[in-house]
Amino acid sequence: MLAFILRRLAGAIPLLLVTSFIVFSFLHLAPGSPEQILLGGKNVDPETLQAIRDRYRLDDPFFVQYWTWLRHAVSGNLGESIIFRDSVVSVVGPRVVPTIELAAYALLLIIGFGLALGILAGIKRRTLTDTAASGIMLVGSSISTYVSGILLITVFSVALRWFPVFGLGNGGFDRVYHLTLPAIALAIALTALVARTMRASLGQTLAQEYVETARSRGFSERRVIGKHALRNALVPVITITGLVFGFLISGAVLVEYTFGLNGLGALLIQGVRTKDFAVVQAITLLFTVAFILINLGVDLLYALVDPRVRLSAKGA
Amino acid sequence: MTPPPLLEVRSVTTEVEIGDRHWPVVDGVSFTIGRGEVVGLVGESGSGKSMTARTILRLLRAEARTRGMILLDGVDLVSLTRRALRGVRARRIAMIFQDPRAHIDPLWTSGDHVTEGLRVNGGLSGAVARARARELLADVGILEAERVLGAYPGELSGGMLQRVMIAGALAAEPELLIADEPTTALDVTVQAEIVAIFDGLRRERELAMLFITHDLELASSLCDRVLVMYAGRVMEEQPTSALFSAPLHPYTAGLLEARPTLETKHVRLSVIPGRPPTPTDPPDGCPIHPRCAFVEPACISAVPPLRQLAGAAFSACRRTEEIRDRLRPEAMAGRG
Amino acid sequence: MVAPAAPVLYRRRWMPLVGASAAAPGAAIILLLVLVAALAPVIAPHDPNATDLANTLVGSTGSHPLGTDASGRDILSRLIFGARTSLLGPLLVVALSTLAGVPLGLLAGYKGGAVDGLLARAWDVLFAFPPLLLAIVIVATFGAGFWTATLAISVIYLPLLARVVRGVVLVEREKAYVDACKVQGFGGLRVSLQHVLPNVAPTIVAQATLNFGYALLDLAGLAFLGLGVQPPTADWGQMLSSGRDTLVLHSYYEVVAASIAIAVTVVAFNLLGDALSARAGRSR
Repeated sequence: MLAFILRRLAGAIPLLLVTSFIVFSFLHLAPGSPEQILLGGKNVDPETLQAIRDRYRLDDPFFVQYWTWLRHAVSGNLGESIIFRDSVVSVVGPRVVPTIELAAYALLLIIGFGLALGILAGIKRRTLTDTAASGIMLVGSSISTYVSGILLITVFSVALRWFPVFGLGNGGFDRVYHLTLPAIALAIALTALVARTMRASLGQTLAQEYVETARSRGFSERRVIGKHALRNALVPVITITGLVFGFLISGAVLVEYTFGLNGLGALLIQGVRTKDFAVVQAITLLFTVAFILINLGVDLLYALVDPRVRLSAKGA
Repeated sequence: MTPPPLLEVRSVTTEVEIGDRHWPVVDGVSFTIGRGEVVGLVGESGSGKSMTARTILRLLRAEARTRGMILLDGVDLVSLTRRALRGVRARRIAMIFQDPRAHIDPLWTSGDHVTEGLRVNGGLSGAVARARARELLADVGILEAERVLGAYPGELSGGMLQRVMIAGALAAEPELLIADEPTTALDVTVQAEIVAIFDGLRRERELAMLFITHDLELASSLCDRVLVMYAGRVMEEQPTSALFSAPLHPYTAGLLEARPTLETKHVRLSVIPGRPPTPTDPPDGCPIHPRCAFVEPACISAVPPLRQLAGAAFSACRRTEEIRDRLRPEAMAGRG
Repeated sequence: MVAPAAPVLYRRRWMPLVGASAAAPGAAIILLLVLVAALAPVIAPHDPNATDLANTLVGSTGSHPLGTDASGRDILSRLIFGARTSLLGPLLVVALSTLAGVPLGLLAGYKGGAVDGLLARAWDVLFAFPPLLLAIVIVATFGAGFWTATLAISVIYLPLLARVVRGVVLVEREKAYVDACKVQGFGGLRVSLQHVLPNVAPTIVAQATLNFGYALLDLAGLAFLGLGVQPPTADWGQMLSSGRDTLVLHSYYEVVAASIAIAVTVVAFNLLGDALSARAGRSR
C-alpha cells in the first residue's frame, strides 16, 4: 500500500510541473509584451517599464523565468496586483477561507443528500420512492449552476425574501445564513449526479452474484446490503468524486459571482475584467494545484476501498 | 422402514415474470433427498435445474412465485417466515455456485468470506473463527492456509476460489449442500480435484448433496441417484448405475448416446435434433415430443405424469415399458 | 491487375431519425429554435438594440410581452435575436472540437502505441485543470469576446471528444471485420476511414449532440461572467448577466426568460442526444 501511495505521489509531480508551466506561459502567449500585460495595459514611462522588466526578470531566458517564478510561488511570493497595489498574497489570502467555506457547505449537501437519495432510489428500485427520487434527480441535473443560482435568488430572495441576496454576512451563524442559497445553487446539479451514479451503481451491485451468496448464507438484509452491496456500489461513486471537485471549483467561481460573495472565484473574474494578470495567474495556479492534489487523494481513497486497484498496480 | 428423507420437494412449481406474464420454469417437480445421499440433477441449459436449486433456498427475486411444498425434516420452507428462512440458510442448508469469482465479494479477503458465517451466525470471535477457517481450508485440500486467508479473490485461481467457497459453505456445518454446477467454470483437471473433495466430504461428514450439472459423466461419478430434467419437469429418476445402463426415458437415452467416447469410432456425433423450448412457448403435451424419436399422437395431447415404476425408478414417458429395451445404450448405438 | 471493389463487410446504414420516440420532441424543439433564429428579423416585434430610456424595466405590456430591460430594450426581441449567438457559439464549438477530435481519437484508438500514449498524456494535462478555469484563463489572456470564448471552450471540449472517439475505436478495432480487412491487405488509413469510421459515427454524432447542450451552458456561463459575448449584443447568457443586476430592483423578467430559453434548448439537445446514444448503443 505504501509503495502504491509513493508511486502515485511521484506521478503527480510531473503533472504539477507541466500545469504550472502552462499557467506561467500564458503571460507570454498574450498579445503584447509581458510587461504591458502585467501593467494591465496602462501607459507608463520607459523607466517604470524597465523596472518591471527587472523585477520580473523578463530579460532572462524563458525557462529561467519559469524556474524563478516557480521558486517564488512555492515560497509564497506570487507577484504584485496592479489593481490593488499590494502583493498578490495579501489580496488573495483573505479570500481563501470564504471559498473553502462555500465549497465545504456545498460538499456536505452533495454527499449528504446525493448519497441518501441515491441509496434510497437504488434499494427501492422500481417503486414509487424510486420514481419520485429519479424525478428529483432529473430536475436537478437539468439545471446548471448559475441558472439555479439566479433562480434561487429570484424565488427565495426577491420574491419570498427568505434569504439575503448578496454578500457574505458577518461571521458565524450569519455567514451560514448567507452561504445557504449559494451552497444550494452549487450543490444542485452535483447532488443529482452523485445520486444518479449511486442509484445506478447500487442497482447493478444488488444484481451481482456475491449478493446472492450472502443471502444464501442467511445474513440479514441489512448486512447483505450494508457490507457487500454498498461498499461495491461506492466504487463508481468515488470515481466521479474527482469530477465533482472539479465542478465544485468552477461552480464556486460562478456562484460567487452570482451572489456577490467575496471569495477566490469572484476575485478571479474581477481580475480578468480589470486585467490584473498576476492575480489571475495566482488564483489559477492555486485552483489547479488544489485540484491535482484532490484528485490524488481521491485516487488513494479509491485504492483503499477497492483492493483490486492495488493488485493490478502491483503487476504493472 | 426407511428413515424419513431430509428434504422432500413436493410438486413444486416456480413461475417467473417474463414480459407481463408469469411463466413456469420449474413445473411440478418432486423428489427427495435422504441423509447423506448425493442426488444428481442433470439437464441441458434452461432445463430448470438451477432454478430448482434456488427455489429450495428461496433465493429467487420477489417477482418469482413458488407453489408446492419443500419439506426440510417436515418443515415447509415455502411458507416459512423470512427470519426462520434465514436460520435455515445459516445452519442447515448451504449452497455453492457455478462461478466462484463472481460469487465471492471481490472487496474482502477470502478469510473474511470463510469466517463471515462463523462470526455473524455462529457468534464466534475473530480468532476462533480464523482457527476454524484454517481447519476448513485443510478439509478442502488447501495447504497454505495463511496465505490464502489473507488473499483477495483477485489473487487466487478459479480452482482455489471454488475450494474457498466450499470451505465457506461447510463452515455452517449444513446437513444439505446444494452445488450448482460447481465445476463448470473450471479446468478439467481441477474438476477432478473438486469432485474428489466432495466424495471425501460425503463420506466423512454424512453430508447430503444436491449436485447440479449438465455433465452426465460427472454425475455418474459422484451421485447415488440421478434426476433428469427438461423444460422445468423431471423426465426420469433412477439410481445411477441403473440410469446409465437401462434408461427409462428417450431423452435420457438420447443424452447418453450423445456423449462422445474414445472407444467407438464416430462417423458423426449423435445429437438430439431440435432445441429446448423457451419458458414462454411451451409445447403441448410432453415437452420433449418435438425432438423425440418415439413420439406418438397421444404424446402431444396430454402431459405424461412422472410415474413410479419398480423400486426407485421414475419415468415421465408414456411408452417406457414398451420401448425400454430399445433405449439401452447398445440398442441406441446400433441405430445411429 | 484490377482490384475488386472493397467489400464493406460491416457497414451500418445511418438510420433515419423519423420514428424514434425520444428523439422526435428534441429534434422538433431544435428545429423550432433554428427557425426562430433564422427568421429573427421577421418575428421580433422590436429592434433588439433599440434603447428607450423612458420605458426601462417595464413589466409585461401589449407592445412588450416580456417587458423591457434596464436600457428599455424589448426583452422578447432580445430573446429571439439572442437565439442567433446562443446557438451559433455551441455550433462552432461542436464543429471545431469534432473536426479536430475525430482524427486524433481515430489515430489514438487505431494506431495505439506511442501515439496513443503521447495524446493520452496531453489530455491528462488538459484534464488536470478544473473545468472552465482553463477557458477563463484563455479569455483573460486573449481578451473577452464571442470568438475567444468560443475558441476557449472548443479547446476544452477537444480532448473530451477525442477520448470518446478513442474509446469506441478501441472496441471496434477488435472486431472481426477489421482483421478481415487487414488480411486482404488494406492499409490502416483505408480501414480506419472507410470501415471503422462509419461504424463509430453514430456514437460520435450522439456525443456531439450532447456536447452542444453542454457547450451552450458553458458559453452562456462565460457570457454571464462577462467573459464571453459582450453587451450590447443580444445573447441569452449575456441577458442573464444584465438581468441579474436588475434582480435587486425586483425585475426578473429578463432572468427568467433567458433561463427558460437556455433550459429548453439544453433539454432538447439532451433528449435528442440521449436518443441517439441509445440508438448507437443498440446498433453495435
